[in-house]
Amino acid sequence: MQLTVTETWWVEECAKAESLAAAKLRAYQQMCQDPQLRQLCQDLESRHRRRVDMIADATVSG
Amino acid sequence: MPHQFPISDKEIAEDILATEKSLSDWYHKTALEASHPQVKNLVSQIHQESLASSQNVFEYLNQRGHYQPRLADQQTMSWFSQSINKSRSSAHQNQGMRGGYGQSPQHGLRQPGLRPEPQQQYSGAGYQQVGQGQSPQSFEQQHGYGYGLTARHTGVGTGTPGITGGTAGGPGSGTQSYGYHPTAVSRHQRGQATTSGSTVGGGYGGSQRGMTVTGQTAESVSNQAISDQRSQNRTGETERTNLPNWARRGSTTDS
Repeated sequence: MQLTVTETWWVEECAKAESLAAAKLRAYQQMCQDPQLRQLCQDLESRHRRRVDMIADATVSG
Repeated sequence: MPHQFPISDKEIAEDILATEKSLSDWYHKTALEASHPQVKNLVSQIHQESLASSQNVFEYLNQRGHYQPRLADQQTMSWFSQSINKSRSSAHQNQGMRGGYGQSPQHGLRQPGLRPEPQQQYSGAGYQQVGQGQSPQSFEQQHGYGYGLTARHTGVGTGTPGITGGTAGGPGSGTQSYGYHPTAVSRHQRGQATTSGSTVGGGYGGSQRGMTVTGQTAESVSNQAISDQRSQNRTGETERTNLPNWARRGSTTDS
């Protein structure tokens, strides 16, 4: 896939932000007391990891 | 021994919500900047998902009373209604003289006050508004314009009311549509307007208030086309007549 410089910058920033969010949510799962919040953190973490995969598959692997 | 973290569940949830909002903002901007259709679709899809994620976190906070948006009181809603109606009037001011937005009478301004007042309700976790009236989409459908990304699919200057918003640079249909589509396709379509001649209500926004360049509105042609026209008319008076005396190069009135 041929991307513009602008696209690569924005998409790269999104992927970084997703990765960072996943790491933070993983840490929060250890910190939080509420089981419901812990479950929410787990769900969101998996979503963020999946998005990074989607971005990578579409822009690099594809 | 369990770790003692100086952060509560409420703070964790609030930080997660802030993170989700920030990510959603990133994807929104990325979608705007993306020109590759596949990238734009992907990013738009993730953006929609991020809105759902934000909603999940909001509901968690809202259910526990940590995030309860305050309802606007009657006075605020009154001021709000006036402001929105004023914006609407301003947006459609002098519309009849331009013709380019092309709203026929049956698609004209809606009368203030006909819109049903929103009924605000708290329903469990969420904030709901019932009877909000027309959605932006239906508004576009009624008025026949939009900033649709699919303007390229609508043909040139058909002026068909619709969510796709017609075309940018149609050859002066003067009817329902105008579109904003700053892509190569759009520039090409606007370029067509430079050769099609007539500009009655057509073109890019259909306004006739633009600078006159050989009988066309400046808004109906692309910047490149304007530049070409200017270079071709370098010796003519068409362009200069729009300038004040002091700005006319080579004018005999220059002191």
